[in-house]
Amino acid sequence: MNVPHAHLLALAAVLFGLGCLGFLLRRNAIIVLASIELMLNAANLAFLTGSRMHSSAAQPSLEGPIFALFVILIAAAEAAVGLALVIALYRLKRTAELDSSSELRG
Amino acid sequence: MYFDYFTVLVFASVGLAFVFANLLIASVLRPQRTQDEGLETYECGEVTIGEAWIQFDIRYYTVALVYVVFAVEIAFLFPWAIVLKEAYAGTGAGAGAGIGIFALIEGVIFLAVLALGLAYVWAKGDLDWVLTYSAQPYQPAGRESSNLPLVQELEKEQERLAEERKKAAAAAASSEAAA
Amino acid sequence: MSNYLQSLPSIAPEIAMTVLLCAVLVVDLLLKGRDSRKVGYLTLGGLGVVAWLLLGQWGELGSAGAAKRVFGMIDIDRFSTFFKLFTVGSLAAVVLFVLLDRRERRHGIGEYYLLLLGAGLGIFFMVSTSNLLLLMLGLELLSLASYSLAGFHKGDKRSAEAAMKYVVFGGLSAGVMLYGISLLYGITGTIDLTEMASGPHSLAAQFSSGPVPVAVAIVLVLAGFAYKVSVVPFHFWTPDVYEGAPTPVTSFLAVASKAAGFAALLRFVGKLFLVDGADGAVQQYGARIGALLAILSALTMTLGNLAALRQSSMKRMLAYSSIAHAGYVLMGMATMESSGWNAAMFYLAAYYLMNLGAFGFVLYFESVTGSDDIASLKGLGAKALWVTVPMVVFLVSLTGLPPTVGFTGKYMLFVAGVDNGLLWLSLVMALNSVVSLFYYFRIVKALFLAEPAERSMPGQSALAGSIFVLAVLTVLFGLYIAPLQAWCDASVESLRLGAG
Repeated sequence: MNVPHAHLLALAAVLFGLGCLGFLLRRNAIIVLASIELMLNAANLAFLTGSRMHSSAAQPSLEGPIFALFVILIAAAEAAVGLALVIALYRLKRTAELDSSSELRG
Repeated sequence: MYFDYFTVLVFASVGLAFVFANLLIASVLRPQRTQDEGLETYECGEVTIGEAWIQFDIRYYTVALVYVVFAVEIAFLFPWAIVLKEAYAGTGAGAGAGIGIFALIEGVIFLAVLALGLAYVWAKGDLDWVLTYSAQPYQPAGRESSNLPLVQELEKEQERLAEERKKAAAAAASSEAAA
Repeated sequence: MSNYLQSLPSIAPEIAMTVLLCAVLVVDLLLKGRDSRKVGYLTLGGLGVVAWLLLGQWGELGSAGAAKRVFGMIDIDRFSTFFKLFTVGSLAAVVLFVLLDRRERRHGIGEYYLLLLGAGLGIFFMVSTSNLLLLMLGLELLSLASYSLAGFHKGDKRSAEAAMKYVVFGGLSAGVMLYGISLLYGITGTIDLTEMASGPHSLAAQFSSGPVPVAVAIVLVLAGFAYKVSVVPFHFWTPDVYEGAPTPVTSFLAVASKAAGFAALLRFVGKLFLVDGADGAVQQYGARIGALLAILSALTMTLGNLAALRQSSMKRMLAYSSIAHAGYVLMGMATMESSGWNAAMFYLAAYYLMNLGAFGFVLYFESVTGSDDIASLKGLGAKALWVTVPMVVFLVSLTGLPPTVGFTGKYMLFVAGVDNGLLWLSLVMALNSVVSLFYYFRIVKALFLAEPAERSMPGQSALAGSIFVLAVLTVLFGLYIAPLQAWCDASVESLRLGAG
């Protein structure tokens, strides 16, 4: 089967939009971090689509898949640091809601 | 071109149908239990406590975070291993680039740095299930108060007290020995 | 094999930095977290070695055509070396600040130096590559280390909250930027900026056939950069993070991290649009990007300065002031001409000096008064002239008055703006400088124009000494601008000509 590139890019755009919406609408820190992961995965899908668009049998465009691999790394590292900071804040505040963060205003 | 998606549709419907078919067959075949015991989660007699929707101990996260590092590391080692194999076999994409020993050393350095990180986590005690070390609390700056006792002075004070306690203990021991 | 080995000396500073990072980690483990000062001294010594290597590299790059690309992705040119040198300098200053911070613990803070070095390594790679993958990895290395640094005081609610805000918005910006890069890759089939500008599917060819996807992709990537250098409308995290983070970390974020963001942004826009002999489509598109940057610049400096007017906390005020300064630098970029970019580089160099000094001052008085409120400075001006007089110098420089480096930088920006048809923006900048005078002067007023306070000042001669040195440099480069200007010229030139 042969899925057209436009559909894949549209799916990536939808994923990215969902990630943005999740980021803007949800207030729980964990969900917000998960929304960011969604956006990164949208980028991954677009990278792989781009690779498919520019590859030929003789000359595959490998930069896209390699980039996608590193995006997975970036996502994991960000999730690790993000979760660690959520835990640190949770220990102090007993909640993971972002709205409760109000020490810094001005 | 939309015909291409027919495969996806078939795949999804078969998957769904499989689940419900199994449930249906099971409901026809299984014996109907009427006693309360039969409806328990563990029929062997263990009584369940509380619900499954509890918050897990925060220490699971620490282990999970360390795990994530090594899970992602594998994603990099597979392509590396294949290129290395090709470089040494003289076939495929890795051949002829003169990349062999250089890639090997690079991979070893990559692993060494990760191992160093693991050693660091280990030495800091973050892998112990019962945390053995406790970080000294940070002395936050009061917004208004002035001339806060400095953390270093507090540390000095604590060291002095510890010294005194040690001396007192030594004195007590020597007086006991004398008696 | 041999060409890889031959390329290794070109990245000697990066290798030295990595080795130093591992050494710091091991030494901290061997010391079992006791007496972290030793780790700090080791870091300072190692940074000295890195600076020495960089100076050697700068000299080697003097001859024409010496700029090169190694490993197919790292550009060794004067542009990157310029920023690496300033990064090492500011890292050394931040390490000194940590060592001299009287309120910091003495034990168990070895990670502080480790994270600072990690962030520095990220900057090294991100300023010296035109490969978007390496740029992104460098940026993430810098960001991840910065998140942890911002939350370094785990028990302090404000520090933990600053880190949380930073990581959440940082993650968003990384996601947006990566999505933009993936679109750029889809459009051009490459992740290398040089190839993007000239390859078979070059952006120039795409402008005419489908300008909308190109515009979307470039705006998304620019948004990621805008977050890093805190340009309006991606600035909202800045004041909170700067206020909550430990003061040495704030100085790192405000100075090294922001300048690195600008370096990467300059290279990104420069490689795509500021190339010699670019064809009409590219130039036209570059002019549009310039117009966008000009509008952002005007918004950024105005909003930053107006918000800074009503701050009572010094760190918060300096945060808004740093937003305003991002606007000034952006103005130099918006000209899309070498003269403007020279001015932007010069202003960044000036920004390093005066802002490091200003944060050193905040650190000095935080340890005396326990607060960073401007009100708590009342009448302390005459008590520690070695620190307060340099602070006046920094404030004069931040405002942009002679005889300081800030004045020279602003003058160059103003002239570049007028020369390149951005007269309105030059006037906005001049007006903004007048506004900024009001809030910078509030610190001077609190220091010198109030009743002398009774408080006794503990001596912190080492910290006062480093602040004094920074002040001397601020005045020196303001009066004797030729060398710094020559460095900026050489850097921008190497960016224009490109390597490979």
